[in-house]
Amino acid sequence: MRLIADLFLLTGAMFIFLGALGLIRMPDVYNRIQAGTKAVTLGAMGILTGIGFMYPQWWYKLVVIMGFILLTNPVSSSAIARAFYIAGVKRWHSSNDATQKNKNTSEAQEKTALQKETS
Amino acid sequence: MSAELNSVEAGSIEQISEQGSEQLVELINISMPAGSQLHINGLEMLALLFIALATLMALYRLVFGPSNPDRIVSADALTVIATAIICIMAALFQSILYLDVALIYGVLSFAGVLALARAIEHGRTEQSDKGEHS
Repeated sequence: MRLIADLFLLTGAMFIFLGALGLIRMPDVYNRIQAGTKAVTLGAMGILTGIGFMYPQWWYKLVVIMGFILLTNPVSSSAIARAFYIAGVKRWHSSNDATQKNKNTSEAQEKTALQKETS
Repeated sequence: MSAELNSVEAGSIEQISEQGSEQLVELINISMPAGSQLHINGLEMLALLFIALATLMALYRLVFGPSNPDRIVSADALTVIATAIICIMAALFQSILYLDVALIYGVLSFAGVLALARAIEHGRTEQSDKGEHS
């Protein structure tokens, strides 16, 4: 029983760690909302399940806390994302767009060069 | 000789680390309420280490965030991490009262984050309206 609880605690702590890592490594506010909501919520679920395996007589309060986190955390994160979108926070443009623009400009330059050569 | 030295050094390092963990457990025992003992495992110590690292990284984003929305997002993530940490404190102190604290903290943080989002929405839209009219 203690080993199962420890495994759940460790997986929850790993997911919280990965969520915080995504909070640092992600390039944009919206990507950080995704990482900081989903992974951290799953990690909190794992930790609460581990505590439930460690102390089985506490299950009702743990179920209440789990349900509350599962219901409210996506709502709060979506409210934050909606507020940022309405407030006009700029999205992050990936490097693919930049390379495509460079490709387009290089193609245009080649076309102009070909036209100059032909003319 | 070098192998013996290495083994001796490794043994001393292991002894030092064991002494360090014992001192850490004693230090946590001192800060705990009276009458309860802390029985902590290696895996649980690893889980606590991961949660501490996650809290430090979220606090880094909260303090040195390049813009204010990043700080708000990291605060939203820190509330959930703090709820999980309060539940872990309930398991460490073997007291069910801390679960009530965690539930109330979750309710208040949800209300606070919703109020913050609403404030951002209204404040910025009024500014953008003014900008459009002018």
